[in-house]
Amino acid sequence: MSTWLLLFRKEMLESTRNYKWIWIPLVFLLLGISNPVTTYFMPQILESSGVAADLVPVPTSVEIMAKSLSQYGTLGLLILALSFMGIVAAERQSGSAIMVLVKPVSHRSYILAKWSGMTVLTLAAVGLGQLGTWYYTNILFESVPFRLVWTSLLVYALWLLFINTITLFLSCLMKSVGGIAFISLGVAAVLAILTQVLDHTMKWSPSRLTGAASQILLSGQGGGDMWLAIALTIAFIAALLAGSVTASRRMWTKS
Amino acid sequence: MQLGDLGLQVILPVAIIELILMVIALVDLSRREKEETRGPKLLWVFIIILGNLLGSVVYFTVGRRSGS
Repeated sequence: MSTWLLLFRKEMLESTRNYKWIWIPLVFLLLGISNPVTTYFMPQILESSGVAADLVPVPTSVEIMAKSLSQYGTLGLLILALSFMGIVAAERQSGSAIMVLVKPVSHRSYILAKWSGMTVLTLAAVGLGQLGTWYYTNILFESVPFRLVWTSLLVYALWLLFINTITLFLSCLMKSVGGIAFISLGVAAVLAILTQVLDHTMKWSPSRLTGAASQILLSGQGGGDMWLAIALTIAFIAALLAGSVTASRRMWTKS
Repeated sequence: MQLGDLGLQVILPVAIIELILMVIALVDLSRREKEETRGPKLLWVFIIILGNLLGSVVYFTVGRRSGS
């Protein structure tokens, strides 16, 4: 436990030094506030381009917030995958992973510290983004109850954490960092498409969480299948973490 | 397009955040050796300044060689 804490603090220090703790939350904040801001200016934009503003209906506050959440699933996911792709692979290549693991440090604490670092940073980033969206929506449009804001955020964040864990797992398995980001995003895209096409058989899919999060905002309820998807996503994350520990151990003995 | 008083107040924070990101990217770039960035440093200066938000994000994600 104490080695985990030590490694976790080292991880935090490193993300502060390479400015990850500043730029990722700030970019998520921008992603979050861009949607209410553009919606606010939409009538003026339409007017200046010659379209009658009343032709386009003004979305409600919860619709604006639901659309902001989906931004994290596209651009946000891309940013997370690109910034975490080298989390283990790059350390192994530069040799700093060996410097850590040659000491009496278990692979489990090493991987768990990495994962916790990613998780805390991701939650802080989407949390800040969501607060920004909420603030702007409240000022420019009607107010949204805070209960919906944080519950939808937690459900959505679980989907991002799931993809993060895939990135970590691949980072333990593969050498090419570009390939790691590409496959993680590919898995996210394929899962999202399959879940839409096979709507009935994929009730357990982690990608359901994105839809459930917007449902929470729009109707106050995540739908009956939400808890199944949440439970399975947590199980998948645990399995992927166990896989990462095994993969890390195997790569260690191989090299 | 005419921006009202509220309009300016809405846009200003967005511009400030973008500016902060740009400055951090440039500070990080200036502290790196030639070998620590992918491609020439001067090119990254242009990408960060001209590319606005996207330029800084691209620099942070793929522009740095080690410790990223």
